Amino acid sequence: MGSGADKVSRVALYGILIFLGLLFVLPIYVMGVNSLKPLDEIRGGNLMALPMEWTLEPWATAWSTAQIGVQPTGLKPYFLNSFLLVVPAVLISTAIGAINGYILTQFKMRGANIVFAMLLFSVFIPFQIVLIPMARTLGMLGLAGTVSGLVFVNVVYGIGFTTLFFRNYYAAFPGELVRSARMDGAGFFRLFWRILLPNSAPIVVVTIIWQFTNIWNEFLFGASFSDYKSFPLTVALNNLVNSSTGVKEYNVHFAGAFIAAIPTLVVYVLSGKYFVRGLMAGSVKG
Amino acid sequence: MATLELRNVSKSFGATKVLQEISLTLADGEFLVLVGPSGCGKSTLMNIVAGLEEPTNGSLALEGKDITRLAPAQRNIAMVFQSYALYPNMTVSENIAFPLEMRKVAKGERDKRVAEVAALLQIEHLLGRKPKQLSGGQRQRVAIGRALAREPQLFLFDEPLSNLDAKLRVDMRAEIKRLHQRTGVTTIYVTHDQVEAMTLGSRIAVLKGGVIQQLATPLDLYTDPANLFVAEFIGSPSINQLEATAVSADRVRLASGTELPLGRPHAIEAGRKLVLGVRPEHLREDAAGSLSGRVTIVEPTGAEAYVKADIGGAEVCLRIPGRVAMKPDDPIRIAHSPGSLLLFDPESGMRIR
Repeated sequence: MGSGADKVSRVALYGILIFLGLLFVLPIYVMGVNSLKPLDEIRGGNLMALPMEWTLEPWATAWSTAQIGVQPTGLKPYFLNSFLLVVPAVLISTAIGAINGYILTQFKMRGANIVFAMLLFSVFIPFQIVLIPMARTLGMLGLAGTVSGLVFVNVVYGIGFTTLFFRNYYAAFPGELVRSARMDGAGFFRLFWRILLPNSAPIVVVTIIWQFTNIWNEFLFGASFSDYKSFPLTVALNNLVNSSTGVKEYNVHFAGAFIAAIPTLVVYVLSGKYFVRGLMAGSVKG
Repeated sequence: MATLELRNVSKSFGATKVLQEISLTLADGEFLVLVGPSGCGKSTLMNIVAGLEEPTNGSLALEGKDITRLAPAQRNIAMVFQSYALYPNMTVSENIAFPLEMRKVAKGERDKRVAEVAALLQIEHLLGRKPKQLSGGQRQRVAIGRALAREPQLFLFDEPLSNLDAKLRVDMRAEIKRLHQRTGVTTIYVTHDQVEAMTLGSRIAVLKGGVIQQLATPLDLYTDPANLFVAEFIGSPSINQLEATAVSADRVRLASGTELPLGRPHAIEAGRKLVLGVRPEHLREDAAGSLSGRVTIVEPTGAEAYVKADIGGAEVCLRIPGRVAMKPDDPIRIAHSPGSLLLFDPESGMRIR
């Protein structure tokens, strides 16, 4: 302990870690400082410099007055769209995944493994392949161009993942607890509601974070299946950045990107600890 | 409280026969122990009684009513599991009340029953705690309490003591026996521990390979085993087994050439190969004994000592009360109690009477 070589390697280790940490933080720094500068400073100076004149103007513009669709509404209505999309899509896909996992593991169902294999396969289907069939389906359901339609698409696409999470978690669930509850008189839903679900906190957190991040950041479905009223935030951000008229307001773009990233950052900061713990629980025991 | 009758219950998984034609009848209030090595089918039999698995063939009747196809919840049977199976998200009192709640017992009645059971098992001070705040013995009590609160017709115990340490196991064993004497609920108790089986059961069914080898009272199993497996399984230290050949109907010769009288005639003809079984307590050190050999190991336990001796190619164990002064390599002469020798067929293991 405490020998010279030890100390050197320790310093080197910390040096590398700090360097890597800074590297990961760098994009946030660049976005942050440039979203707080007037446009002139970005054009004239370098991207790494702190603002000489601090301003919140780009944030206000990005939020409420930037030109995105036909009207200069800013990102605000699309931010709301994304919430209206993400909250039900996450809750519904998580609930279905939990029930699927419960049925696949706790009942001796003929063909359970085949059903699971098929659900698992859906995880590996690229988005592009389902675009056209999905457009037809949404059209037939009368959901084309609506937020509800996007909820439907994201739920369908998420079931594979959520089922995988819950199935692996419940495969390691103590069988004697389930048998005991059955003997005590609990039926299908009460067994799930009173015994399994209250003991599923880690995997519920993992699933919610996973689904929230994926659906919040999802672009292709949003671009394909929504119209100018139902754009999710990612599509709105794209429109903001790619608007072809007038000057490129980079500071507003930075602010807009930052606004779009805030919810996922918040979710990770608040529950990242559970995320790692839950992933471990699922993978190690499953 | 009820009678339970199993008629020709069989269970197979594919080509594997786990249980073969099990027939049993439990009288009201009886305490039956199912004992056997792991993989003998005892847990499967328990699950079939509980309704958690369906038998391939055969039927079950509880208090005369056929329950073969009833779901577990529809049978009035409670079970105590090896892992205790307490619901981790509920407090002790919620755990005990859970089966009552599922049966739609009113809140006031539930509280009353929880209080009664808690008093009976002396766990009143634990009612507000969660299972993870309890010790192994406390969890076991709560699990028993939860089973008791339902007032079931039949109690099942699936190796309930195997997760406890040795001292606690002995205490809980006595507790379960006391509880049974007090409540009189018909009980099936599964274990692989022959001491638990002997001390608890009013009758014991010894299972091996999905077949009941013998069903009898503990003392009958011990003194009058049906085959070598039962003789070996019950009793510690294990029964001594010696190769022998019949000389006449009441006389055998050991491999060493020593001849021993059987005390009474058996169904054997001269020259037949036999396995001779004799319990360690039926052998004693005796200067006039017909067996001679050398002491190999002395194991004092306090109240008694186990002495192992080599008698010409075979080792036997003697159970001797009190202290012994013998040392390894001492010469020893051994006598057996008259009428204590059991004969078995070396091929089938069946007892020869």
